[in-house]
Amino acid sequence: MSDSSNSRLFDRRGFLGLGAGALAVSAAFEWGHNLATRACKSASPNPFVAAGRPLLVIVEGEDLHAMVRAGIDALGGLEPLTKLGSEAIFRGNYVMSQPYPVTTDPEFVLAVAVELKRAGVIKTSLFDSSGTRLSAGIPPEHILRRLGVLEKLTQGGVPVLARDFLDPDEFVFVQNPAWPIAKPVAVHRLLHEAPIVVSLPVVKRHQWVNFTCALKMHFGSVAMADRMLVHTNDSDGRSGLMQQRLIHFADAVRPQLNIVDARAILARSGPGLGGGAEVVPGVNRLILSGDMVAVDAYCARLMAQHDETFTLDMIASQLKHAAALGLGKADLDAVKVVEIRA
Amino acid sequence: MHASFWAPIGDFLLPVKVPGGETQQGYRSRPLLLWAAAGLGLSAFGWIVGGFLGSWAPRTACAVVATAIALGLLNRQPRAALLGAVSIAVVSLAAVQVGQSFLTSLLAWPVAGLVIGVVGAFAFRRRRTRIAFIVAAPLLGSVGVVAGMLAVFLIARGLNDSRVAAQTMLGGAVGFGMLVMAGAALIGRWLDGGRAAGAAS
Repeated sequence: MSDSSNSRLFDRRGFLGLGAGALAVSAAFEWGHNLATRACKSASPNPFVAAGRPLLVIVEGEDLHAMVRAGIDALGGLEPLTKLGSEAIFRGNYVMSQPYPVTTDPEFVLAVAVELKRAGVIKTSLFDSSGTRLSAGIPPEHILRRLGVLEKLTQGGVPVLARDFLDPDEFVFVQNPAWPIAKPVAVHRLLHEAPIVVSLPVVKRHQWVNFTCALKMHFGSVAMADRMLVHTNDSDGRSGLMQQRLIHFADAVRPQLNIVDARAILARSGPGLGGGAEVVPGVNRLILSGDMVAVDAYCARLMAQHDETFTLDMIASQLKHAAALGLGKADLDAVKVVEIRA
Repeated sequence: MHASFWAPIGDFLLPVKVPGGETQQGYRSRPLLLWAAAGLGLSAFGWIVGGFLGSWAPRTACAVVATAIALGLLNRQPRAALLGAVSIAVVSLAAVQVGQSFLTSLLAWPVAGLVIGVVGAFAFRRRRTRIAFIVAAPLLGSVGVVAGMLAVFLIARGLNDSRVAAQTMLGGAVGFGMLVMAGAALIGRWLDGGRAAGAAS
């Protein structure tokens, strides 16, 4: 390069031109690589069916390990999952630093991990995204650490994947053309790419959307950007945006198996203790199904039995929208319900 | 609003002539909009490039380094740009690490602003200008980060689009670069502007 061209490159005009070009190229790459909208993950059909109807197994008992094993046996075993891959990611509910039934019990996670390993899954991990590295006060693992979940699971051979809910590199943008809101959802890349996702919800009331279980828990599967947009545009949950969008968040994850720990439930209010919330112990049930809409339909009935302030019509629109999108069956008559004791 | 209303504002922001009829080269050397645009663009470029290297720390470091390079080169001080880039990279990376343990890694922004202020102050001749820039750079940088984040989030909220909302921190980086560079141009103009051609460079 000649002297004149060198000086031209580093004079103001050359520098600004170079900077503008570099910005354009990098912005185009960023848009194409990180911000492009993709289809939701292609989920295989529900592997846990009987005579064409989704299976819903309800296990009653008091011995957690025995209940998990009996429930999985009643589902027909976990072999259909092992055909999808050798690694599974658990999704728990860790919305705040309060113990079960506000959050998923680590003993329950370990009990399910044992059964998955017994079925041939080589590695199981727990995914959670409840914080950011931008703040020293709320790093991604802070709730798991305070609850002792991080330590228990790590010692139990289930690594914890605590991810930043603000980091734009952690997400992929997905969209289902069937969504009435034609906007993509930023779902965590790990969940989008995981061959097997097993959801481990708890059963709770929720002050804005009335109820949280298998569907609503996927608020924690998407970027804080999506959570904030829903909360700020529907601050009291009355416009229906939150009821609708939580279904889209669940659609973006589509776990292959849901195992609900309903040994106890949180009634009257939620999603945390306080504000009139009451822990109802002695429910003593686990609910297993590959159909998260059927799971919520059943667990809503369970809630209605223990909470006179809750009625099924409170989540009717959620279930209807989820069923319309093909996430599962809201009508339990269309589901094969198996009730057992362990 | 008429041209008579905007004329003094335009003369102030984009001056060509001084009252005496001479071209005010000190003003010309730091056109406000050009500097603000350079800060905006280069910090955005740095933020995006930092994403290829990792998460918050490299993104923050690359954005503030790009701003420092822009400031140095537009001041025609390539050695100051290099010195500033290296020192700001080290300091901002350290500040992010410290901030992740104490308070917040957003502390890196005012810290980087301070380093830019100190290194960039050598571009000015007058002591008062230097002091003003050392004080103003971290303040303007911090205001820029907050304003940029807020602006992007409000736009995202209006559009109800998480692709935009996910770029909230990019908005902060852009706000930092834009206000620091605009601040350098304005401070140079207000406090160093009466100097002869190129003196402020």
